[in-house]
Amino acid sequence: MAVRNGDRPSQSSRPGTRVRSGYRSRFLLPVLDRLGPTAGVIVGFLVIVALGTVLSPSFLSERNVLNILRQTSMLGVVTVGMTFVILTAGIDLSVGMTLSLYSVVGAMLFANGTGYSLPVVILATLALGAAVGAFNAGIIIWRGVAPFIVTLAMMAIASGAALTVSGGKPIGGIQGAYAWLGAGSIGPVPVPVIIMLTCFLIGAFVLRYTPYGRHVYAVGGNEEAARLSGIPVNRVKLVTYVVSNVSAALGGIIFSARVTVGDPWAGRGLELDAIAAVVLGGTSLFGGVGSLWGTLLGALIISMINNLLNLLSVSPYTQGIAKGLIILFAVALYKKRAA
Amino acid sequence: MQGSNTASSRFVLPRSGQQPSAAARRPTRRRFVEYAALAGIAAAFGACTREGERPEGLEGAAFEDRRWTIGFSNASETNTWRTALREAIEEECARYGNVDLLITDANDSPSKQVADMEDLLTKGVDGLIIGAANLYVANPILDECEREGIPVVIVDRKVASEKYETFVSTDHMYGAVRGLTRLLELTEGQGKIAILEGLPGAGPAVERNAGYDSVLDRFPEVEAVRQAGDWSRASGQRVMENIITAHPDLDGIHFDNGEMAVGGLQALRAAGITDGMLRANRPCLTWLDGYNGGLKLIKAGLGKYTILHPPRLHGSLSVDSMIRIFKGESLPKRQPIALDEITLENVDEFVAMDMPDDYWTR
Repeated sequence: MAVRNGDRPSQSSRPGTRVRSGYRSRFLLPVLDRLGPTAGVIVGFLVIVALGTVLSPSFLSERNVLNILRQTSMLGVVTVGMTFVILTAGIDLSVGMTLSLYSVVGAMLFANGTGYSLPVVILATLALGAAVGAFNAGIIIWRGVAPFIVTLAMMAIASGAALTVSGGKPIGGIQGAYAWLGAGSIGPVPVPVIIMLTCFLIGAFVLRYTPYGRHVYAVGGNEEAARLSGIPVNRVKLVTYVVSNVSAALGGIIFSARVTVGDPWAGRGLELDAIAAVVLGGTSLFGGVGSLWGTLLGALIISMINNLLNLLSVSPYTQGIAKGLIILFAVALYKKRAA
Repeated sequence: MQGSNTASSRFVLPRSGQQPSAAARRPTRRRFVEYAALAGIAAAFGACTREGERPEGLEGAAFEDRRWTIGFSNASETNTWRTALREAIEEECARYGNVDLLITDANDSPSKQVADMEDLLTKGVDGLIIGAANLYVANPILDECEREGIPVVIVDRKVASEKYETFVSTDHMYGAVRGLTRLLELTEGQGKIAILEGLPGAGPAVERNAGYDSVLDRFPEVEAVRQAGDWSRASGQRVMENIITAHPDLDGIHFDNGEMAVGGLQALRAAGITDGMLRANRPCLTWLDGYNGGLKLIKAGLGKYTILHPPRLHGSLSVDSMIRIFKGESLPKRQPIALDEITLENVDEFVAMDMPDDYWTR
């Protein structure tokens, strides 16, 4: 097993993980092996950058690069939490619709700037995210229900809650400092991009250097073994689902700031893009293997595909096919290695 | 070619005749290929050129002397109305030999629509037609268009900003008020009615619901059951099944669009309501828009009243407006589309009996 950094403890004897025979190994694999599970996503990323550069003159323009980064920011923040969850071999389907709820709640608390001050709005929204995440984790741990079904139910609840509290209407009036979070920039770098990169930095640090971060990998690698070796599995799961919905809450704030509205449909379908980005990034859906930097590239790939298909004027009907095929191709590049 | 539009027209796929060389403007492009391949992320995102900025001199050339690119950001194509709108815009653009059209579809996602509009501006359009997913989604882009002097035509759905050239639409709220008022006239302003609303949160649904509210305020003795669908035939059928089960004694039903009315009729028939009862206004059916399947029901006497909401006129008028802006004409801020009222008496002018339900005559 060529995974570095001990990313996957006690897995070296797992069958099927050594892919060192035949045609592939003679060419790509020696290089890819050294890069670990993120090799595929790096290759995929470079291929798409190269394709974009060749096919569209606008692709690498400063304006378009900033567009891509801004367009990634909301998805990117959500994928940080999703990576944590998937590393523990869980899944969180609720983040798309809860993001809608957070964007609506944030906009209502802000109330055209006449409501609460921005820091209070942000903290309250993040706190709501933590509460929803803790609720998810509570059901998962307490009743032993599969995360898939618990978070699917939460998706429905959050969707209904977003429509109920907003009365079905988008809540406008995001302005001033709140709008600056979406539209402003520090130097040449847009603020939402700074927020996203900060999340990735903190997340990567936590995963790498804190006991909790190492426990996330251990729980995902083999939950029973982790439990037997004294790791507080339930506490790890609780924190993980809280992290997931807190990052969805931050995503909701970024959405509102960028679109200047709290919208009960803000995050519809976002959970699937987030999962696709995490898997593209080399994180195994079976848990225990993966890294946040792969996820960042995965999220960038998703945005670049959308951006490039628009720049190339691909018909909106065909875009779904093209996007799906590109994701399949990128995953197939390293499927046998990561999963 | 005046050279003013080279960057934007080069990668326009449909109908672009001559292709001026953009490579001349970008001698360093090849270098970036190497950068991207060799140095990876840092180099790829670090090495940015200053281009993609919009060329100057829109006013300089006459309309016929150059190619023009119009971008159309569609909120979604999840119902046939919006598909017909997109087709009409395509057909209208195709009538001009020198107009290229770029279309994006946000699939009802506001964040995707913001990204779509940013991408269209990056490609360098001369004008932007926006069918907005909600009231606020276009605001940041309208600011940018104003800074860059790109004219914007808003079609069908209202936006919460004034930074556009013209707004092409029917008056959703007025249409809703007329439609529901007509239903209450037919049911003599009393009894129990049902309203099937449109997609919660979508602009037209919000405006129409406000219209329904104002009408119901004027008829306090009417009991109204209100449920929301999503403008699809399936949702009309499903919601109507539930309503008719709980309230079998309805005097009238108003649908937010024709597709839901067609679906709702299936549910009513399944609940034992015959065509004869419908013709006798037990219950009385009304709705909004000129969906051909709905018009056929009016022709058959099963529905009593609808108001035209014509996607093809929306499409052709918005392109026509953009061309006139290109030619330097100034337009009124708001271009209302007439709300033709359709009943059994005049339905023959509007219905196409030999066409499928999904066909939009205007």
